[in-house]
Amino acid sequence: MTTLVVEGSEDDRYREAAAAYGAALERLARAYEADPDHRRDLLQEIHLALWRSFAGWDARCSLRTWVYRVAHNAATSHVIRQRRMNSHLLVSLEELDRMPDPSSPDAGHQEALSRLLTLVQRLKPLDRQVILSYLEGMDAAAIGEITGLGPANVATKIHRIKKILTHAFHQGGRHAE
Amino acid sequence: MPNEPLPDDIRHVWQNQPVENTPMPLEEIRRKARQFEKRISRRNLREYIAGAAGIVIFTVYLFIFPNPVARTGSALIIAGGLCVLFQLYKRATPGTLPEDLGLTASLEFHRRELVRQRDLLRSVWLWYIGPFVPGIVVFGMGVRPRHGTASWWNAVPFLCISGVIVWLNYRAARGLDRQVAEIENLENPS
Repeated sequence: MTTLVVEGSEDDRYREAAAAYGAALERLARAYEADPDHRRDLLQEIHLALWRSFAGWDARCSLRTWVYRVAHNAATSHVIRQRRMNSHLLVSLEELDRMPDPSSPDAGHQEALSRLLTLVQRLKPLDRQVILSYLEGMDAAAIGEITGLGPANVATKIHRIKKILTHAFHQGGRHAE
Repeated sequence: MPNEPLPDDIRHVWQNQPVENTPMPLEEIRRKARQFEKRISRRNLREYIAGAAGIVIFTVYLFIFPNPVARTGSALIIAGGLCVLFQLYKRATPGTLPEDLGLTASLEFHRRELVRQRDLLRSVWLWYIGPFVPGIVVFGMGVRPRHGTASWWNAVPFLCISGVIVWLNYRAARGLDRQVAEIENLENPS
C-alpha cells in the first residue's frame, strides 16, 4: 500500500483521503455496525470527523495512519455512545481462540464474507482494530502506529488472528477464489 | 486439509467485498456539521428550559405556600436548580469528537473515552442529584403540616430513586474501570 503525501487546504486533504480510503472506510464501518441505518450514520460521522481532523494535520504520521486513527477512534466513540460495548457481549481474540469452531461446511465468497463480518463484529474494539488493520493488508509496524500497541503485543495478536481465521475457515474450501 | 484457505485468501475476501464508495461532497459534509451543531444547541436549550421551568414553579411555591418550612424548601430547590444549570453550562460538551483524533492512537483514545465516561458516572450524583436533596427533604417536611404527617418521610421516594440511580451509576463505573485496567495492562505490560 502506498503512503500518500498530502499538501494543500483541509478540503483538498479530505478529498484526497476520501478518494484513497473511501472504500476502506466503508468496510471499517461495516465491521463496527451491523445495522444498515446506523452504519450509514457511522460512515457519515467518520467522514465528518476526518474532514474536521485535517485542521490539526501536521504530517507527523502518514496519511494512512491518520485516516485509520480517526476512523477507528470515531467508530469506537460511536460504539460507546450506542452502549453496545457491554464487555460480556464482546469477546477478545484470546476468548475467541478458545471457542469451538462455527460449523458451516462449504460456503462460497459471500458466505465467507458474512462469517468474517460476524466474527469481527463480536470482537472487543481493540482486537477489532487489529484484525481490521490486518485484513486491510497492514504490517505489524503500521498496526502498532495506529493502535498504540507495542510490537510484542501486535505480533501475539496477529499470530492469534491467523490461527483463528485459518481455524474458522478451514472447512470452507478456498472461498476467495 | 488440502483446501484450507490461507489467511491471505481471507484478506482477499475482505478487501474485495462490494462497497458503494459514493464520495460525500464537501458541501454535504459542511451541511452535516451545521446540522450537528444545531442539534447539540437544541439539546442544551431543552435542558436549560426544563431547569428554568422547575425554577419558575418553585418560585411560585415560594410565594403561595404559607408554611415557612415549605417556603424554605422551595428556596433551597431553586438554589439547587440554579446550581445544576450552572454545572450543565460549565460541563456542556460540544458534542463533537475531539480534533486530535488523528494524533491519538486508538488504544489511548479508547482509554480516555472510558475514563471520561467513568468519571462522569461517578460524579453525576454530586452535581446533578445532590443539589436538590436538601431542598426536597425540607420541602417534604413542610408540605402537609396540618395533618400531622409532615416529616422528612415525604422525601423518601425521591431519596430511594436517587439512591438506585447512584448505585446503578457506580456499578456501570466499576464495569468501565475493569475495561480501563485491561487497556492499561496492554499499554504498560509488566
